[in-house]
Amino acid sequence: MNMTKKRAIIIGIISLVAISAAILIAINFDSFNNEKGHYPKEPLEQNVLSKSEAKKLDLSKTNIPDQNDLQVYSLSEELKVEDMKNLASDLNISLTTSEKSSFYQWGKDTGNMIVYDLIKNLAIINIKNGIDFDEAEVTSVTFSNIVRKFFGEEWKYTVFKTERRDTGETVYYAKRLLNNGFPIEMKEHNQQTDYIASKNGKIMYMKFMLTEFTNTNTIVPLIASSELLDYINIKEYPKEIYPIFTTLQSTVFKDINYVSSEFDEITKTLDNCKGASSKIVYLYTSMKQKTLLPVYRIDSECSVEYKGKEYFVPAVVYINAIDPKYISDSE
Amino acid sequence: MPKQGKKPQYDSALGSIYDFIFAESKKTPNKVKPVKITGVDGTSEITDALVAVLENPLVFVNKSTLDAFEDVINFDLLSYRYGGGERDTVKLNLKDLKKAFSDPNGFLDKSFAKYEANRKINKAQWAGDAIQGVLAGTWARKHGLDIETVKAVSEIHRASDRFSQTANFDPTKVTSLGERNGALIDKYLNNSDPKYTLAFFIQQYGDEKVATKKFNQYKKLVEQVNSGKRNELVYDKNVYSFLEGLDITNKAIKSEQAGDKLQAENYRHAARYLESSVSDAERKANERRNKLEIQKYQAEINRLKESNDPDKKEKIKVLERNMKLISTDTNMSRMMGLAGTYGKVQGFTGSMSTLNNYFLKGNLAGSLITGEFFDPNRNRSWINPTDAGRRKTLAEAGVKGFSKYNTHGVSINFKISKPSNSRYAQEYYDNMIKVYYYSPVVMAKSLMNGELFARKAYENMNKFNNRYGQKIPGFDMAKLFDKNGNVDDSYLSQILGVSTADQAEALSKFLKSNKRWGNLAYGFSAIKRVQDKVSSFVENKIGRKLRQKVATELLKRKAFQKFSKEILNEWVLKGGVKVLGKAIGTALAGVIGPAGQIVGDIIAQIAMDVAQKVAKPVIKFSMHALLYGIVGLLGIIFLLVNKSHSVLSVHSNVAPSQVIECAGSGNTSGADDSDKTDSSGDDYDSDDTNKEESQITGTGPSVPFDGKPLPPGETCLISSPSARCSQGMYGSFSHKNTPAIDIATGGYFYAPTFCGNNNCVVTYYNATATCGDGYAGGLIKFTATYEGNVYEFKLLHIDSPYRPGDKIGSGEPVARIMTLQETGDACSTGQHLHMETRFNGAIVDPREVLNNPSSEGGFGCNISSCV
Repeated sequence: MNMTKKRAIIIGIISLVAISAAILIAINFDSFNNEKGHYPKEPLEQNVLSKSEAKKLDLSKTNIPDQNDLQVYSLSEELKVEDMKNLASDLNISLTTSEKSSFYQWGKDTGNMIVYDLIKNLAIINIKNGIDFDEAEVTSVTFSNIVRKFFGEEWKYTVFKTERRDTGETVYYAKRLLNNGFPIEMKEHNQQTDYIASKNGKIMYMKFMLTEFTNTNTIVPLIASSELLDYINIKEYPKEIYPIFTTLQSTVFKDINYVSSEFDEITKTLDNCKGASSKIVYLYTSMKQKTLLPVYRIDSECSVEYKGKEYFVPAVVYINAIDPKYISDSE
Repeated sequence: MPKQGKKPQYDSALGSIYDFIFAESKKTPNKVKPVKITGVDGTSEITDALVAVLENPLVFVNKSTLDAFEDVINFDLLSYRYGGGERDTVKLNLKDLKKAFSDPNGFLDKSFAKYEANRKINKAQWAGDAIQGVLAGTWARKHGLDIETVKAVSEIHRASDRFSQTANFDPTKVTSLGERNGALIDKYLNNSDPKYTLAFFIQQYGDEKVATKKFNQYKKLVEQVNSGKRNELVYDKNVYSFLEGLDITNKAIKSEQAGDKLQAENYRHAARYLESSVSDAERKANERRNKLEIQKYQAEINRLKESNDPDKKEKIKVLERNMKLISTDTNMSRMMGLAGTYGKVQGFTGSMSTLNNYFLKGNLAGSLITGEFFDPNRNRSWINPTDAGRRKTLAEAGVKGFSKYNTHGVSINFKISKPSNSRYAQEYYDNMIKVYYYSPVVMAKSLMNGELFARKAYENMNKFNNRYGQKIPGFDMAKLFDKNGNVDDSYLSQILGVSTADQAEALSKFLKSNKRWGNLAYGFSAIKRVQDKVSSFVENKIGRKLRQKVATELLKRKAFQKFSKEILNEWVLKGGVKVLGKAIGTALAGVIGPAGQIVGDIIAQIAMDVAQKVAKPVIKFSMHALLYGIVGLLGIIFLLVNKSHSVLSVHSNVAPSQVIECAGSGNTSGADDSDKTDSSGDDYDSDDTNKEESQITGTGPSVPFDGKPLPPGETCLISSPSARCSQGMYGSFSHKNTPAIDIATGGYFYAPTFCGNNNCVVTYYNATATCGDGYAGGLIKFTATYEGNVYEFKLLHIDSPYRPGDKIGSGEPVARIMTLQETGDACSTGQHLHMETRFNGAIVDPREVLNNPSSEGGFGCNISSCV
């Protein structure tokens, strides 16, 4: 082999390697970019939290999670009406209510029943005689298997709580996990997105949130904890407080009817919340919200007044976690 | 509809269970049929066990079970106490009534024969003690010892008895012996006296080991008094014997210093005698010491005999007299040792006999089933796992080791395992207690006295305490509940202030379950409570008053006022001729010296004999009067039953959990239900048959709805325009004081179509509303304004996408009525919307607002009349 030929082969190999590398870079450019994402060009709408909460919140003893940027997710507008119809057919129940694009119901609550809430995209399913499931007990895999089987989705969950009901069912509460590993929460009693109730090895009823969330490649910087302390007690800073009165109701307020105006008066005195632990979650309320944004969930203690005495009540507080520069003032 | 609390449900079950058991117990075994229980959802082992009892009566409703029932529901109809203890009491109780009716005289003769046998044993025991006291007292008097020493040696054998009689009373009120002990405590223990060093005790006791023990005992007692435990020591016999011994020893030292060696020796003997009387170890040490002294004296006598001492005869005489004294002391000590050994042998024999009965004679299984194995009076062997110690309340004992559960202001006893240092023994005791609570007889008895439920509450407390007690800062279960078993609100609030949300939730669950167990324990202890009340009434209104009269008469005498006021008080409280005799004896002792105490004791014994003889005709007369009374009462009840048999037979032959058909009641359907909780939080079942609106819908502060015309196009605000109102304003249950209606329906609640111009605003939203038992769904309040007229809506048991401050658009879905399963079944028994309305600030009937035509400010729904 002469020198010219040798040189040509070497140049050819080098060129081939360079072209392959260029192709690989081009192919993976998007995913490299995705790792970080880009900040939004316009401020986002924080429309899941109230901007008229005037109660005082003390976060001086709360460790705010240290996180710089987090992904913004968009909501798919797709509804699962067809899947619901198929499920209703499997359960042999017919449509009983369909109205104003808000609500479907198949069957009645005395037997098999499916309620499909289009506003929140929630499926509430009651099966009178229960359905068998293959696992020994309900786990996060059970939730994934059910959404795969009935709705064709590949979603991950974490089961965080179980509760035994007087009627004998064990209810497993779960939160759906986003692909960045953070959980979604809803403004529910246990802040779950989904639950399954089983009894004697059968699923008796369940509730699933069926909205699909997609990573938008947009990231938002989170508010610095020092800044948060400055903002937190401004009335318009997005936040909501959900007190849990059960303990006080069963003890101190046991003689006060929970539907009475007297109890309303007590709830009005709720104030001076002191934050304890905190974590980042994504808060979902309904299909109306355009984006799914991270919020801080603060487990707190608030005070209420009754007959001149102060009592403490545990509360879950959601506060905006995004740097206010990236949140629009108007809605 | 809210269904807070479970009490009425338990009451029904309780009534059913009683009826069933009493009905079954009257049948012969071949007629007893199993009852099929329906609707019982086995959520706990107890429920399952109770159901098992009821489903298989032949297995469980046997003689033992019925005997156990009889024991629990047994009332003392008459009791005559001629002595100081339970054994000295003649009783006629409910259980004996049948025998008493059939053969009144024969029944009494048999009873008296039993009590007379007891008296013989008691008298023999008393005579032994008394004779020993008389001998020791005579010896002390003969040797010229002072009155306090004479009294001490005379009474030391009865000291336990005397102290124990007052131990349960106010420690500041002491009897004569207690007074003496208190004076000794104040004299020797108030401050550590530098005189009492180890060297002092070595000098007095010779033996260094014994002296060190005495010295340490002295130091410990001083510490106890300094830490404020003086009154606890007043009734301690060991403390008394130690201090009286020390006092007598000081008298010996004084005699020595005065040159009277013989008197000093006498005092030392008295001190040793006293100490030996209360402790086996002391007794043995004393005997060893005596032996050495006798050897010493014998050697001295031998030496003197061989010597040429001119006074040797006199000296030997003195030494021999001393030797005789010591020998008497030793003999007495040996007698006491023999008695102690006999007691031990007796205890061991009893224990072996118990083991033989259980293991060789094969009575173990039976005794486990009947619960007899766990009775400290029947099984005194170490294999009995129960703690027979003084019963303690939670506040006294902290969480573990208390055996009195307080709830609803009453105390319910239950069994706990006795503590052991051995891990294996402890394991055995703990597990055997579980066996006890699985005994069918115990389960059955628990239906009368609530014991099993109290025990479950105890386990529940321990479980929570083990899991969270250490984690919640400053948590103390004993502080969480007051002496009546109620939650201390201010402490709870304080604890909630330092708890995390999870801990608070766990605490909430614990309090709920504690309330449930408390309700069960209280409900099922009804019969025991009635029994206690009747006994207490009889005792307080009759027995104590009579005694009070006698005591008042006696207290007119100076001697009684001065010396035995406290004992008389005790007698008024407890009764018993024996105690009265002691009061007389103590008064005599104060007047004529220590012999008076013995005379008093003898009088007490004679009085008991007399009282026993007197008792017979008195009880015979009382019993006949009582039997006639019962017959009369039965006649009255018969008349009442004939008049109102329907009321009395409400529960008859109804198994637990079956729906009880009371007058005017019917079945309920979950979907049709509405709130059922009254303001006190109890459960009720509402019924379809209660249709009369006037009976259910009450009145309260509201005004007639005077709606103004709305624009055309307004439609019903709820998904189903034709729905049923399952509870009206100011109804009987959860709406008692509430201007709300319940609409039994699902679907959405929509905003009026006139909304959309910033005129409809959410004023409040709580997604996590709760009742005392758990989740109630969401609660939303919003206003809707049209032409200056403001509608305010309050909706509960809903789910909403809105937040406070949100503006609502025209006809938008505001809130979805949650299904029963979503709200967790805690506050409702069926899916429904709870709704309140105001119009221009005034409370108005929501049904009128919904039903009125739009021309009258309404939304044209068709909500039925409320039930």
